[in-house]
Formats: sequence, C-alpha cells, structure tokens
Amino acid sequence: MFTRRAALMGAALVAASPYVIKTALAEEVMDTSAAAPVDLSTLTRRKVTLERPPLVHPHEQVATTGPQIVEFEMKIIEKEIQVDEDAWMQAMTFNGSVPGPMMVVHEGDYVELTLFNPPENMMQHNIDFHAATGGLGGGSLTLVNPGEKTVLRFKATRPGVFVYHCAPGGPMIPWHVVSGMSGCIMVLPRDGLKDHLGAPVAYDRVYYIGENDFYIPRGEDGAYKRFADAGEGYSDMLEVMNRLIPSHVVFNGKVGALTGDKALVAEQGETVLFVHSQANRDTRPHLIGGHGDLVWETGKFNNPPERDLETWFIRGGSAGAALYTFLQPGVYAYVNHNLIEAVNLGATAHVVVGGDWNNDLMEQVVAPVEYDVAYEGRSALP
Amino acid sequence: MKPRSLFVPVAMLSVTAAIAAMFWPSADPVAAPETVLIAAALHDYRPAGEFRQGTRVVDAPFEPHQAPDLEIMKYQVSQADYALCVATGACPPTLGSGQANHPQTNINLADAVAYAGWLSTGTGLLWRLPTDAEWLLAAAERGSDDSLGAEANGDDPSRRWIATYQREVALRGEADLEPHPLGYFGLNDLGVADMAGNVWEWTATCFQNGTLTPGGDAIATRSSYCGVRAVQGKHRAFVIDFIRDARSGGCAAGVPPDYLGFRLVRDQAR
Repeated sequence: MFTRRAALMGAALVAASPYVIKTALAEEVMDTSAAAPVDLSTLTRRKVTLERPPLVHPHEQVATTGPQIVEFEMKIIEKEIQVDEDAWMQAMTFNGSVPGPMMVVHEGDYVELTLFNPPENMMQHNIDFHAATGGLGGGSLTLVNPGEKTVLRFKATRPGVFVYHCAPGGPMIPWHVVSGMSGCIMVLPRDGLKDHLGAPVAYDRVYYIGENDFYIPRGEDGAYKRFADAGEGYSDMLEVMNRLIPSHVVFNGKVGALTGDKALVAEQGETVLFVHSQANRDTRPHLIGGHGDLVWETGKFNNPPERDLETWFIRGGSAGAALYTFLQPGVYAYVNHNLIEAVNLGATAHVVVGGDWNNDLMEQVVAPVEYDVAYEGRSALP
Repeated sequence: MKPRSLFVPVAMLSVTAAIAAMFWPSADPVAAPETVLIAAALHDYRPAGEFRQGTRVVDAPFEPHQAPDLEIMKYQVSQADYALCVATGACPPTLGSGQANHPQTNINLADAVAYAGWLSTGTGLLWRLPTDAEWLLAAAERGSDDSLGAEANGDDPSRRWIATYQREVALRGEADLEPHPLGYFGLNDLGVADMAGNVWEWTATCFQNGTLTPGGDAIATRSSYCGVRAVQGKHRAFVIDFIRDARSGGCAAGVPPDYLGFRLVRDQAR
C-alpha cells in the first residue's frame, strides 16, 4: 500500500539522488513491539522541562534516588534563524534553538523522549542519541513525518557527555546536522564527577556551548543567499557543504550569541563546567586567560580527566567537558582556537567574571612605556 | 618603539595640494561640499587614549578646550564623491554598497587623507580630517563621553575592564549593518547629519599614552602613537590606520565599529 509515510520517504530519497549513498539507511521504521517485554514498573518517573542553551535545566550532581525513568519532550521546529547581521539560514531545530537543549540524567536512568514533528514542518526528522545503544542511536525507531510523534526510551548505560542529532538517512543526515539539528545529553555518574584521583568534584555552574558549522551560499553579488524554505536552498547549500569549508562557525547558533549582554557570567572562586559539543566537525576549545583544570576531552566520565589543559580537542561528532575554577576577575573569551574560525567565522563566547584582581598570579611590573632605544633592549636578540 | 607619525606626510600633502592649486589651477574643479558652520566655543574635552595615574589606567580628566570656528561637512563623504576621486586616480579604490547616495565606507586613514588632498586641489580650499575634539564639538548631543566612572578608576584593574566591556555593549546596542542613505540618521542639534549612526568616522587624532598628575586632575605627560587613530561614532574607538573594516579586525573582548567612513573639515587657515 502506498502510504503517506512511504511517499514522503521516497521523496526524501529522490531529493537525495544522485548522491544516494548506501549508508545504514532505515527504509522503514523499526518496530520493537514484538521483542521480549521488559518490566520497568518498579522505577519512578520524573518529568524534566528543558532549558534554552547555554543554560541547563536544574539537576542533582549526586543522585539522591535510585535509577529513574526521566521524561523529556522535544518539538522539532523548522524556522529561519539569523546567523550573523548579514546572513540567515532556514534551520531545523530541536525545541526551536540551535543547538538543541542539553539533557541531564544519571548513569542507570532511562531517558524517555517524546519527539513531536508538528504538521507545519516540511520534512521528516528523527533523533540519534550517541549515548544510546542499538537502532542507529534511536534513529531507526524515531523517523517522524510532519504531524507525527514518537516516544523513545533508552537506558543511559555510559556516563559522559554525548551528542544527539537528527539523522533521517543518506545525504539528509549531513544537511539536517549543518542546518542546526544537534544537541547534547550529559549522563552523570550516580555519585557525581570525580577528579583524576577519584575524589569527588562539583561545579557551581554549568554552561552548554553547542558549536555548529554552517555552509551558507553566497550569490554573485557576494551577499549571503536567503531562501524562503530549506528545500529551496538545499542544492546551493550542498555545493558549499561538499567543499568542506564552512561559511560560519558559531556558538549557540549565531555569531556573537554568547557575547555582550548575553555573555556568560561567573564569579572569582566559582567552579564552572563547560560542556562543548560539535556534531559534525573538529574543534579545539580554549579559555583565553584560563585553563581546563579537569578536562574530559573525549567526554566520557569513566576515563580520568586530563589536568591543566590550555586547549582541548573535541572531535567532530562528539562532546567534551572541562571544569575550571576562576581565579582572576575580568573578561575571558572562550573560543574555538582555530583563530580564523574564532574571530572571522564566529566561534567566540565571552565570560565576564567579577572579583578582585590577584597580583600574585599576574602583575604588570612596568606598564607600556617608551624606552631608550640606544641603551635598552640591546641584549634581547641572541 | 618610536611612534610612527603621519602628521608630517599629511602636512606635506596639504601643502602640496595648496601649491598645486596655485600653480596648476587647470585641475578639474570639484564642487565644494555642503558644510555647517559651528561657532567658536569653549568645551570640555577628554583626550583620546590611555592615561595612567602611576601604573593604573584611569579616565583622562576633562581639559577645557577653546575651539575656534569650525566648518564641517554636513554629510559624510558619499560613494559618488569618492568615486570621482577614484576616477582621477587620486584615491585608492575600495568597496561600497554600490549606492551613490550612501556614505563611502570601507575607508582607511590613507584613503581619507587622499580624498582630502584631491578635494583640496579641486576646490582650491584646504580640507582635512577633523580632530577628535572637533568631531565631538560638531557632534553636540550625539557625542559620547568614554569615561568609565569612579569604580572603574579604583584599585582593581578588572573593574575597569568589565566596565569597558559593559559600557561598549550598552552604548552600541544592536549592530546595524544595513547600508543607509545620507541623511538617514537625521540632523543633530547643530544641523550636522548622520552623527553617531552606523558609520564611524576617522579623525586625525592619534592614540595617546600619558600620565596624570598625582592628584589625577591634569595630564602630566603624553605621547602619541599615530599608527592608531581615534574613530568616532556611537562611541570612540581606536583603529589601526590601515584597517578598512574594523569588524573583521575583531578583538577577543570589545565591540568594533559597524562601518568606517569619514567627513572633512575646512581648514580655516585657507
């Protein structure tokens, strides 16, 4: 029977040709209902309301209950976003934000996500949780057409920070991801984070920085092209994508999104956890003026963290976490330390930290002053 | 490092232009731009740059400044005007929005100075960039004071840093990258158009380093670094002289001007 579902899936495949690649493409949604049932009736449930990035919903660091079923809801919103003053993009978003919101659970919890694809959307979507096991991360169980919803439950068996992203199949996968459709989930150890010696560490604040690479095409006049819907821009964007050079690399979906009056804040002496995800492309976060005291560069808490890092490497398709206790007040820049991407393409956030300057850590012994060229500085060169 | 100065070459250019005008009056005449006359006035002016009390950076004090009569262009130099200069080969070509009645942007200091020389030759009058003080005088109610206040002048350097960051954000509001025609931002109280719009304007004033007296009420020493100039708009910015697009000259913290353009004043000496 030629169902609406089959028609839409066929349309997706047609749009994808001639680049249809034989990836693990789920031709039809998997159905797990006939497999052996599992009894989770003893578990309590908790419903979480997600928070807009860079903030994260309230959560315990050390779990005070046993494993629970944690319920989340996300609605997929296709909408135009402004990426820079002169650039717009038809984005595909989880819950209306780029990146999608960060979820937090504990190891052993079950994540139960209800995913809505509202009827006003044009496209089929799904979700692949890198934290989940089987079913393409959930992607083959969650393909929803406009007007449909689905509920996925997976067991959070591995502690760490993980990417989630949309992966509807074939060339749609990269397109949806570089259109903004990714986010992060943190699975904390039940007794919280530990340092390199296994001693507990806690954070006073957590910020989620989702980095996205965009591939917005330019017209002949040099201006970024703007389209009425995602489909209209697809082939132009595809051309830019396949050259692998992004037009924008941004935090929180927009150049300057985490600067100015939207800069991150902290206080001297506060410990901040910076969670950083990049669903598609390598990045190398660096806190200018600071460090990563404890860094889970690969993002997985069963590995002891590295210490005192200047810059850490987040491989494309993963998330990492860095803990830092601010020691000096002032303005910090948190960047992707390919500085071209940081400054020219947008990958910069600011952190404004209040406190009292510590001259022991850094002091300006002589403020810049003119010097006598005839007598000074002559021994500087070898 | 010895401060580079462009004052000598600028002076030479003006003199050359003046001489050229006297001996080669057959250079194509150029219509003089519309100007606004601002009467001589005594105003308080805070010098442009970084001043220290001991080793601590503080706000420079106001200095009373006796400004003579000022004749300033009513509008910024337009793309049509600049194109005329480029056509004669006197000005370097640069980018623009392609609209004749829009201000010329993507201008660095040398571009502005070249235009001033060409305009002087063509009109037989002497035109130059305004000084920072002249610009502020002409800006009237649209000029902004870049002092940070008492807390920022206190003992902790981070206060000043954070105050600078927050002040720039507040003053700047949203960036406006849409090109607008001349006159879009309206006239100020003195009848000068487009002051503190989305085009920051070059001044001739060099960045200054200096020290204050121990009491902090006057400037004790000062030296100029002319590789960096004061650029005026919604707030004062300091821009390296060869930069045409301050936005791509981004800083780790701090907010750059939307566009760089200019207007000229008529030197009253001629």
